[in-house]
Amino acid sequence: MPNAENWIIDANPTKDFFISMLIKDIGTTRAIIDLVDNCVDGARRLRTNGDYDGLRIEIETAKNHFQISDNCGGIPVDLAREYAFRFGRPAGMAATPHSVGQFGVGMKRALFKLGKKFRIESTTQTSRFVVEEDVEKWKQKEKWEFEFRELEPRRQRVALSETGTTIRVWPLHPTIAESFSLETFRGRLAAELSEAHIQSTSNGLEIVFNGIPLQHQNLVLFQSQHMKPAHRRLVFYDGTKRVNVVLYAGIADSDPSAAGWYVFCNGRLVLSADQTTVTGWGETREETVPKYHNQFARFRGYAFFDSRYASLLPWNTTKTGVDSDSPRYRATRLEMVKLMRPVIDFLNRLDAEKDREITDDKPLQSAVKAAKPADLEDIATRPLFLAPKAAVVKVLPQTARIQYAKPLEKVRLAQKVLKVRTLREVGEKTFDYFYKSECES
Amino acid sequence: MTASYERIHYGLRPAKNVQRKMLVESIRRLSEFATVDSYRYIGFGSTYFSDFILFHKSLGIRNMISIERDISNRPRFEFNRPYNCIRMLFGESSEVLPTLAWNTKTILWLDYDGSLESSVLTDVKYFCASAVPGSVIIVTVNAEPRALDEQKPRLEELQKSLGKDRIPPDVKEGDLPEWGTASVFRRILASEVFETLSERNGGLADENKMEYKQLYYFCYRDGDRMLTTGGLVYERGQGPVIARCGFDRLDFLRFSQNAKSKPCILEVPKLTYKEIRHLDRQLPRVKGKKVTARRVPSTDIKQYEGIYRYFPTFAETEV
Repeated sequence: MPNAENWIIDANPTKDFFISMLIKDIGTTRAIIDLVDNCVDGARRLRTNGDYDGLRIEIETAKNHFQISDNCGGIPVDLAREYAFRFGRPAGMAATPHSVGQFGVGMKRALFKLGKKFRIESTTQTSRFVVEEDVEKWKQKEKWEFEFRELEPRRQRVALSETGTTIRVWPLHPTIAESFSLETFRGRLAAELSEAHIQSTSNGLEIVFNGIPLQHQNLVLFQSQHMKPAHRRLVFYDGTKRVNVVLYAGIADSDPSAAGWYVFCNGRLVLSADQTTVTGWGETREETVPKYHNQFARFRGYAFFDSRYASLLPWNTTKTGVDSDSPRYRATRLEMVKLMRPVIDFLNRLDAEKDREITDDKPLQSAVKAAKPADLEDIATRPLFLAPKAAVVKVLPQTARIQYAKPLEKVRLAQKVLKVRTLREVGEKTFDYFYKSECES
Repeated sequence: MTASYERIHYGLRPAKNVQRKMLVESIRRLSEFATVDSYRYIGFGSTYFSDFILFHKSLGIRNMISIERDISNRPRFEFNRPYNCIRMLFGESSEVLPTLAWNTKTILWLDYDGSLESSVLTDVKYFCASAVPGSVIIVTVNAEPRALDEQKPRLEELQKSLGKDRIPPDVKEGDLPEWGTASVFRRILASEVFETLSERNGGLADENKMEYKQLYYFCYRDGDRMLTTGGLVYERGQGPVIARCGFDRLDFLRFSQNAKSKPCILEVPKLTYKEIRHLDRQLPRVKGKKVTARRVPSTDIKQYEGIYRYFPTFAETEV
């Protein structure tokens, strides 16, 4: 009879393995945006009405450190102790409604990804804590625990303006430091930061990157009396839990890099200008919706998934795409395909019109010109994209090409008599000669 | 290529004529879902509108839409429109279908002349993504096997035109001759229906999840081999309604999704009026008794017995 302990197989993860797995899955810019997500969740806890005026997130990428700080209310000590540092979200944890942070990995993953040590200081109106850790040393420890370095679970109430969280990571991993030194990287990060939370920034949240407030572009679609974007609302239920989906499809400026679908989950952009099968585009030109090509550079589609229960939304853990197997996403995608088809048809007609030789009458192009960009909130619901319909007139070719072979000797002679240099001219002149004498008279 | 309405008079295609009447008989049974005259019918009326005339006359359907791609002959189609209740919509079906409201029970007959192409599947997908429960889709395509060409095996050509992932993996080159192409087409069309419904079901509660019951699997040849397949989309909760429709009592319907299932092959024997009258007097057949007519081949008699209620008789008339 073997003794009990021989029956146990050790499957504990090593911290080293766990960390390396965790950070491999995510790009540096995305890891940083994950930290911004936590700030946005703070803003949501603080301002349930969705007005974020006066709230601000500052991000700094320096030579040897990274810092992000916000004035979004701070992390309560309980939340830090029970959840914020756990890997994965414990069941039964009260979640921030409509939260962006969902999987319980974002912050830790970003910290490990960026550098060797981190320090988190957070102040709420009634509490304050500091956690500081050297990751290399932490890896050596057996236990999966962090320690508060400073802790004031109950303190004198302070003004809201003094609350907030600051996270600092230093020294940076060499590859991260190198990225930070590149202007192209910083440019990309700024661009991604400015669009990731476009909904929250539209509602007043300010994001400052290396001292410069990021500008965001409003989401727009062209609209006029004769051209109206499609705008539908869908509701899905999981038991009694609701997921709202709002869809828009239409046209905007011709821009191949901006064309495509934009998918948001609880306000967070997870897919940007997508032109792949994930959002319903075809793989070939002949499918329900054709493969993307540049005559569709005016297409824009927006899909907003929103739920109190973030776990019901179809995002992947890195929030860099959608979980295309999610049943709610599949059902939505079908509706997206239905909405985009008439837009694609219109853009095909627009393209055909461009190719027409008659230059004076281009009703579709005039219709596009007459339409003005409208903010999404100014677009009324309607099940179908409306655009002027011009009949596709098949322009019959006005010329025909004739080709034939004749004995070289005879051709050369004809060429000589006609006094022309090319064989093409021989053909044309002989045809003209025949036509003049036999057809015109 | 000339459109088929320019080549053949629709009314004179006997097998198609039989099929049309069978469709009517099956559609009548939808009355368990809603009064049949409240259905909307969408078809490709061409210049003859044979289906529209029959559906209006015998089913009382008034909400009718004919889709016509041949925009250049618009006045001619308008001229031939037999009833006031038929709305003509010009354009490709894939363009027109999305512009319709999909809140009415609909019978959609995608009656193509050509072979199964991606655009056909697009229309099928659109219907399945949009149709309300109790709606019926019917698809007719040319299912003549491609001409033999050693350079271009049929299977490869099929994969090229529809995409590899749409061809069932067990299909081999040898499965495509004769009615084999029709059988593969039926499976591809059914897969498109099931796939689309599965996507749509992702957002629906269990009792509202959409199901598909195949009703039609006709094969016939008035010239080329043709396939007609289709069926009913309904909500899971409507199972008992379907049972009350009594589709199983119509022996020309085919419900099986089995890859090897047999079609209802419509063959119209050539019989004289005298023979027809003689046979009719013995039909419906009394059990155990033989139906005979002098010198008429027994295969013809058997075929006739299967379709005699729908048998077309043509006569020259001056209208």
